[in-house]
Amino acid sequence: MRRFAMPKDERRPAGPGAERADASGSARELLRLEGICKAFPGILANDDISLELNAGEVHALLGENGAGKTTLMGVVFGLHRPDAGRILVQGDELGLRGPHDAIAHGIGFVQQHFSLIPTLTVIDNIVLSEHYGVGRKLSRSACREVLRDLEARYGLAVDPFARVEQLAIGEQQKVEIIKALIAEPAVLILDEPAALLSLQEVEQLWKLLRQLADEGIGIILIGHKLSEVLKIATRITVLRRGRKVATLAAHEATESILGELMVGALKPRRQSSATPAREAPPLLELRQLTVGGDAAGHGVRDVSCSVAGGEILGIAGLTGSGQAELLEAIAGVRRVEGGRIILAGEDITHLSVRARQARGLAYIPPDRHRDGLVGELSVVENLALGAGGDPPVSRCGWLQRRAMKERADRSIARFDIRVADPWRSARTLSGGNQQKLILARELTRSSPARHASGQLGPAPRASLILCCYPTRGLDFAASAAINEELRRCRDQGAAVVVVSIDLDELLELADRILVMQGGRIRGETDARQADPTRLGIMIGGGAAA
Amino acid sequence: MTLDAIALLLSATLGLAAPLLYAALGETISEKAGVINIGLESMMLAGAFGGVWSCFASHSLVVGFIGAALAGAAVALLHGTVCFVFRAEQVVSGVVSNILVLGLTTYGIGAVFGSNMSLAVPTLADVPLPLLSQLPFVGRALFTQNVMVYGAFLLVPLVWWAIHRTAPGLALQAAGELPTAAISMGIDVVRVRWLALLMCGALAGVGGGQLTLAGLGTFTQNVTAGRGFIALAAVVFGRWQPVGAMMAVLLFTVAEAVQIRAQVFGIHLPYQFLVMSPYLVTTVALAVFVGRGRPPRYLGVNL
Amino acid sequence: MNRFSRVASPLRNVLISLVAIVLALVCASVLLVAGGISPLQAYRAMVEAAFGSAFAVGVTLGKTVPRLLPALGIALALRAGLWNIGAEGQIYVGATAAAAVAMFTPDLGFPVSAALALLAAVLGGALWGLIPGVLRAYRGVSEVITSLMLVYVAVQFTNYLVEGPWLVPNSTFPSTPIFAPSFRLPIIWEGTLVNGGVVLALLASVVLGLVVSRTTFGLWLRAIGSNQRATEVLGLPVRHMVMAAMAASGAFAGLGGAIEVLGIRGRLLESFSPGYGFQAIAIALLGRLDPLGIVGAAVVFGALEAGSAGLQVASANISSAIAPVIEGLAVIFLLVGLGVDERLARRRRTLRALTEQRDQQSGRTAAA
Repeated sequence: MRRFAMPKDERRPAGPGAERADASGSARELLRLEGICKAFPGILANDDISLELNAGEVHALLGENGAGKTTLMGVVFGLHRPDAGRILVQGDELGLRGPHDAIAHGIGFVQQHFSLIPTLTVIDNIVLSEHYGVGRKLSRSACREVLRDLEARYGLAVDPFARVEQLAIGEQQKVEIIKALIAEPAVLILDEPAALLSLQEVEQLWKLLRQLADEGIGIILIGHKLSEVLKIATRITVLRRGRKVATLAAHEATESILGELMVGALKPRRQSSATPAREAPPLLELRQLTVGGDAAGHGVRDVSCSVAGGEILGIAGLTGSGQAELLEAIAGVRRVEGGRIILAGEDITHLSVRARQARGLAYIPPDRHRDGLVGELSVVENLALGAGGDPPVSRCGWLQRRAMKERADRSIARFDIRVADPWRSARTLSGGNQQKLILARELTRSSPARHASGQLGPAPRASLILCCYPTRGLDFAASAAINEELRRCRDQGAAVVVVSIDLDELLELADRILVMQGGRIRGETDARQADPTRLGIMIGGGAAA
Repeated sequence: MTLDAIALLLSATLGLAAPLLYAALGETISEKAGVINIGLESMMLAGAFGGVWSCFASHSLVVGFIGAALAGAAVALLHGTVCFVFRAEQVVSGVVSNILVLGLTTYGIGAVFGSNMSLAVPTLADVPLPLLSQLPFVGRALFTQNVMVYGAFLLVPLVWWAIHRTAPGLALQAAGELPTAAISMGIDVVRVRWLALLMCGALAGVGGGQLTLAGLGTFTQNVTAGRGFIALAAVVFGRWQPVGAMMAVLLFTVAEAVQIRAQVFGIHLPYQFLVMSPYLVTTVALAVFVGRGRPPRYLGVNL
Repeated sequence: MNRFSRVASPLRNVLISLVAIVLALVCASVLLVAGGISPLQAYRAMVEAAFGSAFAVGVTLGKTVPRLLPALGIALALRAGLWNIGAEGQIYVGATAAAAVAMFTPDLGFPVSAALALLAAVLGGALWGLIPGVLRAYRGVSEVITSLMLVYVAVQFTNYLVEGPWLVPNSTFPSTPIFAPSFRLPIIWEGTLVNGGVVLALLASVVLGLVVSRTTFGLWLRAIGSNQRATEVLGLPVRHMVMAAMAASGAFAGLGGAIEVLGIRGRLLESFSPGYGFQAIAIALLGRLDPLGIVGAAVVFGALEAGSAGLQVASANISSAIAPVIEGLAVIFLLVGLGVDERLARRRRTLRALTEQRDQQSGRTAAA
């Protein structure tokens, strides 16, 4: 039941000169997707997608965030039931009921988020996963045998008795790959495997994949750096907004072709609202900033840039490229490991969040539920939190309810927040109004602030505004309102930094655009003269031509 | 301070340690899976009561211990229902359990035993091990205990092996450390937590039964007198490992045994300081030690 | 995050707690029947013992106050998402501090001396609450375990003092000498044992209400308890708040301990608390963290205790242990009720989210 890979004697011998399977060649077809459709509430993730995978092929799946790649592979692995379409594995149509079925039919999936228990050793994790995931009772000694065997065959060396939390990310990924290989799959899917690896580790990974392909295994790689894709893939499929845009052989593809396919043709551009570039001194300067990352994504590596007052800087890139971490570091929420942050000539690298707020910094966090609002408190109270214990909202520690209400009324009017009763909890607001609420809170820190000397003085209106995914999950009208507000701030002289994965929106909103990938800045361009294709390439990690 | 006195001291220590050890082992299993039982005390108390009741009704110590285990498991069942089904905070459920079970068992004394307030049941006899108990110092100290004491200490390596070397044990650790990853591995985390909790209840119940059936021979109001909390401290101080829990329990009971025989050893420290030492020591350990010995990440967190 | 303080509607909150208490009484009656006692008779006797005469009411109040104060403190900490399980220990430290002042400071006359003793208790309790707070703020250690451990340290230390250096010879049970009158709280209701502690307790309830709903401190507490991550992003001084909340919580409990020893008893006894601090947790929850609710729940508990004590006098074969049974069951039914309520709320919220998404989609397609 388990061995669906080609019997070893039928596999092509590995070695130099072994041809890669050609798209139309004589290799067997391992996997075929026909017309796969999958919808989630509010999103059509996969819209009539068809795909083939042959033995010995490395098939890359490219696309921007939200294009539907991970969902599609989730369907193949039995994590999601497709709404329409068929999956055929080696000719047999499958009705996958779950990952168990998929594994049993020879499909292995190395996911982006590891499912390893950090405090257990490598061996324990594998034993556990085999026992509960596959149903195979593997003894510890048998497991060590398997590990030794895999090491001999593929050079996959991991200390079996190391605890997973002691391993580097690259090694943890090796464990995930080992887990998948133990089941002797015919098809191996890897989701963004190179995302968190160093250059050396990526090379080792490609070597491994080539070896596996030479042995007849079919490999699907989900989208990452364009240059790497071109190195390793035999065929490439590009998805965009849930649809398949194209499938082409690797030797027919170039970075620019792929970039354009990923990002799409130039749409009739709305009038860019970018103001002519002004010669203004930088308000915010980052000098070789390095911030630690975590399992969620890259940190920031050696980033240097500046933003002037009266300018909107957009930061584009796939999620996990370090943009969110960058903003957190500037806001003071994440610790800086190296480099400096200069605001209006002052080094604020190690200042507290409060201190930065007193100097005019405003931060709109990416997840309004998790870090943005205090859901149970009322709208009035949420706004009052922005005032931070200073008059008129509170005097000597006592809340001044009338002042709070006035402040709330002003914000509600100014930012057009639709709320039935401002004393009801903020959770009852719609997403768009919640975002407006956060914006209002951050932009109206206009209560007097304490200066370093302890004297009260007029507060700086927010002079540096950091927004992370400000229009995520919002409808058209709410997004427009938020962006309009940001433009208004820019026009009043503030420096605005916006992180977004929606390139169209950034092109419309920003004056300048930076692209981040892998924790670094890949390129910079003036918004009015931006070439979306070139941007697409940069986002994918390709060379900025 | 003769050698014989020390041997007697050690022997008494082991006897005193057994109830705590059962409870601490049970709690280790439970906390590894992510379930915290502030109500461990109530599980022991229920077991003490259930043990005496079953033994009284059946005139059999075996039935007595089974009854003790069932009583403890019943408390665990309540705790699990309130926490897993109704998603109450585990800490609250535990505190309330202590209040409720104390009341129930005290009430039960009158209701069950009627006017026989000083009810007596037979207790376990010591079983000197054949050859080992003849050994000079060690024989008296270690190998002349009742069956359940041997059982408690034999459980330690057994529990260690079960947690660290069997697949279900690994699943237990996974459930408490990273339930999301465990679920994606195919582990039924809810079932694992239930089993761990019920096992803890049974073991704690046996520990309580050990107290009454192997020592006192009767049940009195609040007979456990806070031992459940000492067991909790032992789990923490033992860094959530069975062997560590055993060492902690032994350390804490040595203090108690010494205190009982304070005059013999010429110690003049007021006994309250010995009684408080487990808690003080555990607090300091919590404050000072970091690193590997940290609690399971999802301890006390409902899914 | 904090289901106990959900402000869905005060009426609903009261209803859930009342239903829980009623269900507990019903279950307890089953137990009584099993023991051959008529529940109605028993409950009537309990009500009589708790409220039947002015003196009885006084006894009830006397049993209410030492449960009310730590409950207020626990509610305060819980607003910030902190579980002060160690209130019992803070009670003991407060009582000991008050006793120390009463025994060793010069007599400055009432009310100065009494005030000093009370102040010492508040500070002592605050200190004992601060320790777990510091460990939580700077070490991330769960305040549940640390405060729990410290309970038994405090209890044993107090007992050591009472049975050792502070022991008054020739007493029936270990105790300190009786304190001078200027340190003690006077009786304020003729013919009963009700002392000034009741006034202090009521004042403390008002203080809790004001602090939580009308001060910046209270606002920040509630914010931290609701979404700590967001408060960190906001720049609130979370670590300081955690320590302050635990200390304040301990202060309330310490005051409760002081009233116990400076009131009727007038001296410090060993193991004087029958678990006030733990019952206070139940009371805080039943009262839904609201001062009014907590006062109500504390009175219920006090009445149960007074009533069952009277019950035991009335007929010897009914154990006074029926009170903790009712108390425990009440909280369990509360937890069950909250769980059910939460599930219903979640269902409502999911429905609302789906409707909103559907509207968004139609909005998007309309605009596109």
